Amino acid sequence: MSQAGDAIGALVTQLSRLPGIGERTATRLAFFFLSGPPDLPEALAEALIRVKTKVRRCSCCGNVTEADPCRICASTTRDRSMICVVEGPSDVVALERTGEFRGTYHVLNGLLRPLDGVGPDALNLASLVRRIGTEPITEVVVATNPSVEGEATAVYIRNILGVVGVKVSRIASGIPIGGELEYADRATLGRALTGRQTMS
Amino acid sequence: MFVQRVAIRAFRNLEQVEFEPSQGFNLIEGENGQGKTSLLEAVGMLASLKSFRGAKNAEMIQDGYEQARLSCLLMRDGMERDLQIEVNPRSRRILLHNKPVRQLSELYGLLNLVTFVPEDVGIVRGTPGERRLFFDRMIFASQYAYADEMADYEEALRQRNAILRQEQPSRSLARAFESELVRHGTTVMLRRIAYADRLAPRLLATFGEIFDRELPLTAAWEGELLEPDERPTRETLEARFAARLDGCWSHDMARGHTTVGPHRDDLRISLDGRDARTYASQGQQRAAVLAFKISEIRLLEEQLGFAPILALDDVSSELDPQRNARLFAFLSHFQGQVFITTTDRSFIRIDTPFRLWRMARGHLTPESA
Repeated sequence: MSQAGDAIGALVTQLSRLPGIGERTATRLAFFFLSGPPDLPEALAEALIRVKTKVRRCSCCGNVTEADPCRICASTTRDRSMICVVEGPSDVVALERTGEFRGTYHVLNGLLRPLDGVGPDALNLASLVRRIGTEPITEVVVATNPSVEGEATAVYIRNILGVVGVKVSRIASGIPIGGELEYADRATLGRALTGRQTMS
Repeated sequence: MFVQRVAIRAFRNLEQVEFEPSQGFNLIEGENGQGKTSLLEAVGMLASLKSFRGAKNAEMIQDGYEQARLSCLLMRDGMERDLQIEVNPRSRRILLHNKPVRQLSELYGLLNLVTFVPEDVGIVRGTPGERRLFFDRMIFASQYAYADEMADYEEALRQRNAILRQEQPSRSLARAFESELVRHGTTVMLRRIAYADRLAPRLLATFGEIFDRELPLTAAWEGELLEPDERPTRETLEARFAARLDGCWSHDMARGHTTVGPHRDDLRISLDGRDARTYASQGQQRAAVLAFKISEIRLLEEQLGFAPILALDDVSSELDPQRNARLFAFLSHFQGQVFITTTDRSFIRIDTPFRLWRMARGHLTPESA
């Protein structure tokens, strides 16, 4: 690597810091910048700097946005009576793709993890309570992951919102539609069995 | 079910071992320290993806090599499966038919193996922690979701303990994790109770066969949340657990850890109603361990519809002639594949034909039986 000069080495080092990218993939990507489309390096660099300088947190919901408030919080057609609470911005993208939810979101930017020193103060929770006091909200849907931390965070939210008198619900989990039963992983199947519903 | 071919590379002191075991009995003879246990450990790795010695990756890779490789050809339900494990210093890679397997849970239960090792005596004589580990492994061998449930319980426990160690532990934050602790902890307790119930009649029968007379051997879970002979509902147990966590909050804060829950429970093993740890003779304790193992195999056999593979490490005659006689009687009727290691083949008193190997300095050579 040292033969090829420090520039490539530095690029490999930086690419290796990305999640899911090891040194071998980083090396392949680095050489692609040399042999691939000539406009790629500038275009990518520009896009990265734009993300870094333009994107910030929405002062209302905590989602990432270029304009504050964000597109969803500023929309006049969304249902203001429902808030969906999620762990991170990528969850908003996933839920928006379903087209099922017409309410607004609230992004926690993490889950409660006392082991790593992440308590309620480190999450975007105070503004959630504030929103409930100022917006005409009747239901809060907690859509955190069904992990130990996700469930505990959901319980914590239910407990602090319980005193405010707003309805708190939790998304269901189970077998994915379009997914064959035989391909579902064991934890999902187990959960789907535990949460079974009576048909007659 | 049986393994047809086993290949081991750079695993502990086994540089290169390849062999085709018989579908029945396989006897591996050799002095101590020659690699017999490592061979069984390798087969065990292929079954549970973990070392039954609790070894870390680096310990299993032979000096001078970057990785250890284990593979076997597994015959099950008339299907042939090519299973490989690569042990790297920091990772393990599993390949099924040469393709990497992403979800480990898909592999659990593919190769059903029960081990008999000298350390098994800890089932009776060991610490509560050892007993929980033995018993939890037995449950896991037939109920694979148990591993995830246990992992979730331990995660919730670690989080609550972290809160307890904070300068000013927040009761409301702890409550959020207690709801998870209670849910998963109750699942663990109910699974343990249910498995002990299924084991109970077999334990009684097996122990009776060993001593040729009625001598009730029983195993029941004991703990702060459990009443003797009680079969609590999930609701009862969850409510009790939640209330106890509430009650011991200040006590736990002072101790810096959670003092109630299935991680503190113990399996009480009794012989004729008396604690086997203190009242049973050494011979009776060994017989009890054997009864546990045989009962586990019988349960597994019923569930699977065929015999699991057995791996018996270091079977010798000096220990206890009576116990061994019963062990060999059981093995003589056993229908599945068996691997036995010993320092001397004359210790192994079985009438059934077996294939014999000699292990010396990490090399395995076939011998005529």
